[in-house]
Amino acid sequence: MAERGPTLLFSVFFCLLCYVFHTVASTKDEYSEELLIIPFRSGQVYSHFEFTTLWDVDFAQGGGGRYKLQHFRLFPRALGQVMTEYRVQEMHLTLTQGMWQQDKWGYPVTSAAPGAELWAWFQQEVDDVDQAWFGLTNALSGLFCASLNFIDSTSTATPHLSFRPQGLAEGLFSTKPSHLRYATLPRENVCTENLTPWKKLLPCSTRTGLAALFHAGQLYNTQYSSLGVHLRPVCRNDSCRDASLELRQVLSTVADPPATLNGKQDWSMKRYFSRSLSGPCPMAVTSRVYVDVTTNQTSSFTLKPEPTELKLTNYQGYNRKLAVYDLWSFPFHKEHGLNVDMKWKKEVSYKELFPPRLYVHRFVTGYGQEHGGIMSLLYNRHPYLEQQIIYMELLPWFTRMYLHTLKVETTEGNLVQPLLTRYTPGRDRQNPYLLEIVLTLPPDSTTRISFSFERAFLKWTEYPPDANHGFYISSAVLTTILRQADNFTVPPHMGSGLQSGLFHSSTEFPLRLHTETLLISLPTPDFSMPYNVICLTCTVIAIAFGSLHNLTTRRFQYTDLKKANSGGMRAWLAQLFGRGKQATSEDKLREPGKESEDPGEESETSEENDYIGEQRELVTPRVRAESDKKDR
Amino acid sequence: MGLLSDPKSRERFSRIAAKYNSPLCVLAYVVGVVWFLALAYKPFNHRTYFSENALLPGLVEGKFRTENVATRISQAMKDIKDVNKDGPMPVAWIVNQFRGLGLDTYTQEYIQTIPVPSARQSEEQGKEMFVQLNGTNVYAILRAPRTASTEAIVLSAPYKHYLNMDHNNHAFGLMIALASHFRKSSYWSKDIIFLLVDYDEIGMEAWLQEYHYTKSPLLKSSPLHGRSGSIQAAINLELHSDQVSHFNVKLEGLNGLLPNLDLVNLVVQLCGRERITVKLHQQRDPFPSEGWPAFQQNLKTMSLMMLHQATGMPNGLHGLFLRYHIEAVTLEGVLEPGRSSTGFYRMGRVLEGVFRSLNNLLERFHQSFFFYLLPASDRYVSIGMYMPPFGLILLVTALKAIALYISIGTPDPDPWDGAENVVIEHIQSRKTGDGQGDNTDSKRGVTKIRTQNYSDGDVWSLVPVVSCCQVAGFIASISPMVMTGLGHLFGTRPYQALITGATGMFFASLFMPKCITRNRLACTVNTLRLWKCAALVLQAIILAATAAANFSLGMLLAVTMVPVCAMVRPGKLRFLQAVLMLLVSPLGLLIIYTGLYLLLTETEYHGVVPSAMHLCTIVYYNILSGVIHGYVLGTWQYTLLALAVFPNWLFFWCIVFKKRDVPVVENKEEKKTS
Repeated sequence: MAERGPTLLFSVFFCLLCYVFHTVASTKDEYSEELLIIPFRSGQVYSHFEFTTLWDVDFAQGGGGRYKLQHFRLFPRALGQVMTEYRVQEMHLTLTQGMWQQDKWGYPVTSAAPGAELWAWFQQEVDDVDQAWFGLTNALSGLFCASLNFIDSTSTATPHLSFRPQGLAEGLFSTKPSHLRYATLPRENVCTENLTPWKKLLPCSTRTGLAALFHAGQLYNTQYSSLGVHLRPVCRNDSCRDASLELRQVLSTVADPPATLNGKQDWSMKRYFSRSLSGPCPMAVTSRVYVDVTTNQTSSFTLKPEPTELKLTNYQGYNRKLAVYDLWSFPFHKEHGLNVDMKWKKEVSYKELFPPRLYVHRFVTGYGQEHGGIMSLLYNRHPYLEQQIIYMELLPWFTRMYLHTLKVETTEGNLVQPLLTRYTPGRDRQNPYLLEIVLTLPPDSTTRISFSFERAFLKWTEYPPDANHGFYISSAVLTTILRQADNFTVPPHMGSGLQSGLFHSSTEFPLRLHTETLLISLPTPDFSMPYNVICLTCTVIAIAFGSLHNLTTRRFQYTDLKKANSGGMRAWLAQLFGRGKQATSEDKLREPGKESEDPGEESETSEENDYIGEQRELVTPRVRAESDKKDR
Repeated sequence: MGLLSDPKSRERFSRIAAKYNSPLCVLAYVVGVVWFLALAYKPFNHRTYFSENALLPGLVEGKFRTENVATRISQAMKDIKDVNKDGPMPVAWIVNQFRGLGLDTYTQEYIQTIPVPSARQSEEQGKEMFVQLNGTNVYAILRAPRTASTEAIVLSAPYKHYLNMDHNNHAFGLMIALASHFRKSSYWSKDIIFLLVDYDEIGMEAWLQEYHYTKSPLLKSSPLHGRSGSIQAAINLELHSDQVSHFNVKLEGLNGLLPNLDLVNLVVQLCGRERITVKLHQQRDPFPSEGWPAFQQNLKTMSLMMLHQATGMPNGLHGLFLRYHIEAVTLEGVLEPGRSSTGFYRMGRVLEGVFRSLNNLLERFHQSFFFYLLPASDRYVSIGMYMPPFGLILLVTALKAIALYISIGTPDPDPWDGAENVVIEHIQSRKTGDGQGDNTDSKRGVTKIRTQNYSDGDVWSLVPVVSCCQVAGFIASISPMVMTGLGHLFGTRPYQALITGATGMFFASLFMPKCITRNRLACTVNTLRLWKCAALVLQAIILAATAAANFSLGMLLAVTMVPVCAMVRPGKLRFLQAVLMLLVSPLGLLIIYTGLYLLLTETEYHGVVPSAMHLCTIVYYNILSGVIHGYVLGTWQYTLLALAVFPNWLFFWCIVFKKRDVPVVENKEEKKTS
């Protein structure tokens, strides 16, 4: 027995271990970090960080698309709990400073609207989507130190066409169109206070790995910077029998070296991130830096240190040459850290812009503070292919959109018939105006979408402190599927991480473009001393109106003194029993103006009596003349 | 209100208004004019101040050091101009200059049709009836980092096509120098648009219309492929040489719009900081700022500003921005020989300071004043100060109208006393002269008057005369275009036809009283009183409305028209009245004020005849540009004069020549019977 004791104990321990091992194995997760650096022809340098966490959550356990996230390892717990609480199936949040310039830079890896943009699909089982949505926005607001809590029903919409789920949306994950919520805050300023909580979600934080490059002072001294969190369910493997939860954290910046460096495009990690890489994140499966050296053939630059690998990709005749630094195989022990350094021999020679095949330009039309218009120019520069697109416009309630003024035509004046128009009218202080149009852009054309709006008067408490700054209208969104991959910095791909897009070919490239945000001025009262004076003056005029009206409409006529006296009595009586009493015919004769007497008349009872008593004297000269004539 | 609603005191009031009418009118007018002129005197106006705190002018150190770029570029542009003398703007070269700095550079082509038949082409072929002007604007946008291109500031300069004169190459040089300097900084919060405009106003109008997509039928232009956000402010630059002795700041915009005083103030302050003299209308601020000479100088500056503003024509490209609620001024760099001058370095620093201040703006310009007059660059008269004297002047019209209205239906104190005898004589003479038919007529008139005399004037008699005047005004407003069309048929020179159209109707309608007197409109004293009362009320409304939109125009009209129009009466001293009325007619006023302007600006006097000739030429061009600008830029000065002021004046003109018929006779008869 003494021998069997430890055996039993061991077997129990073994069983326990097995169980633990099972649980751990069933929630397998992996993390990868990538950085893509592209020097643009226009002189700017684009760096895009992508951190992907894939977690094989057992979705079936919760039933339906539901999941219950427990036992966090690489997946950030703070975010996971929020997602579980509000039953979010898919969530995309971007916080952006600056605008992506499509005509100069092509298409970004992930397009983002200036300011904050959030859209989420909720699980099918969620009953009260709005409640879940406001819970989510408030939770995220706290999590990312952003003003997402200002998202309310006036800025939330449910587009039906533009924002389809990006991850799995079938079987367990099928959901209803009504379970989508979309909102933007175009005025949101993004800075370090958003970056700090964002980078805390990373497994290695900023201690090591690519995230070590995040120096807030440098990241926000750029032309454009955008950070995003994207959560979606994806296929676990090719058979797609199981699903995983994917969390993408992306950060993009565009630096402009020629502005500061005598016209040269020289770029290095030390200069633009103020440090170099010391090694990969130990948690990361892949940790790579890609540098696009395709342009090296035309404008030669030297790249230091030597990349660990050179890769060539070819899409539809469009070649791309990538220098790859694999941080796991990079000899950090020999080099003094990895400092990717590009040096050009010549200054940047600026050429005419070479805009992409499809791009948008949007602006406000008209002037004045009553009406206005918005016009979008959609350029399809493809020489022979038509392009079907979805255009979405979300207007706040105070720009009351007139749908009848919606006009879609090419610049040559040919009408373009929209294939589908979905319009949700807004309601004052409740809903925004949402317009979605599906249309086909003719090849090699510019299509104008224009409509007018009316600027609403706000209540005086609804104006922000800087009322005269103006009000922002969020970007319009253009969604489409392109057939060609040129113009993409990274061709989009269903797989996870940058490498799937960079190295696997595809035939369809979904594209989403955000247009400019617009600044419009509403009729704004002058919130100052003259404003008060105007209010006061108006009040005084309103009070004085009665007397003035009385004065200008009353007519004096001759009246007999005796009758007038008796009338005085009657008038006095009438006064006693209320003014509303109808005057008798005699009264009318006596003073026809009496009926139209203004209720605003301030005369007191005594005055009224005096007034009637003095009728003889009241007779105007004109009347006197008549009486004279009679006498004669 | 007791005064008005209590009939007793109302009567008293009306009695006073009637009895002391003339002295009151004279008093109001004299006090109004003196008060207004006194506003130019230093103790009566205020020192300018910054209302918008966000501007923070001059807080940062200027770092502009690229003045040699300015010199190089302006020289290069001059060389190009020297080679192709009369050629178009060197668009490709300009585009390269901007693009070389890494700015988003775009061009815009436009064709402006000026609705004036071109003399040359119509003679040749008769095909192209209208003058067409085509040009190409070049603009470059410096995108501010980390912003979504929601706001922008504009630095513009016109490319002038004058043959022998300078074509603003220095301004372009400075613009490029500033662009290259601005490009290096990352503190911009607003995009900066550098705009080089082909053909002054028309090019600017084309660009602004296309930027805001407000199309006019006469202007066709290629779409802009790049834009920034809403434009917050604009500075327009004109430099006559690379060395300037002072900046002439131009403010007056389209239809008398003025930029926000804060912007003007900003420019003036920063020029002062760099020790560049600022002048308004080429007038220096008086040095001992008090005393009689200083007052004269201030008054001169203020009058020049008013005369400019009253024309409603922009005196620089900035004027066109104002319509779009974009605050803008023009800085005109002038080299005055014999004065100390400064080069590109200081000018660049001034502009850098201005742009950095504008960059600080959080809100649109909304503080400070939009309605003001400047007697000196650092003194202002606000709307609250200049409106009361104007109100006093208008009070003359109102008082007169009230007195007349009260007098309607009264035989006693006739505001037109003394005229009766004349009229009686006149009627009698007419009776004897004309014969019998008239006799019966006048008898009928007498019987009619018996019922009408003390009643109200005949209100319906207003309808034909007012409508006639309005029709005349309407014809005057459209006649320039009609006449150019007709002139084209008869082979007249287009400009002459235009002038004929503009003034022809005026001269034609001088004969209108003749036509009106002929017909059998009832014309008692009361009717005439009613007529004049209506005319005065109409005048008060027109002047007040004009002053609200363009104060200077309203004021200049009021100062001259009000006393004359208040004085005119039918009958007596008809010739003198006619002369006075002609002087205050729209054409007369134009001549008077053009003369005043020349008197204030021209330094040399060449003798009576040459001066008169000069005056006539200027008036001729003023009418011409008034009409043409109305079509091309949308100024409403000519339309206002033709549709409102001229009919009103014509109304008075008819009253002067209206014959007063029978009422006095009736009066006498009554007296006899009683």
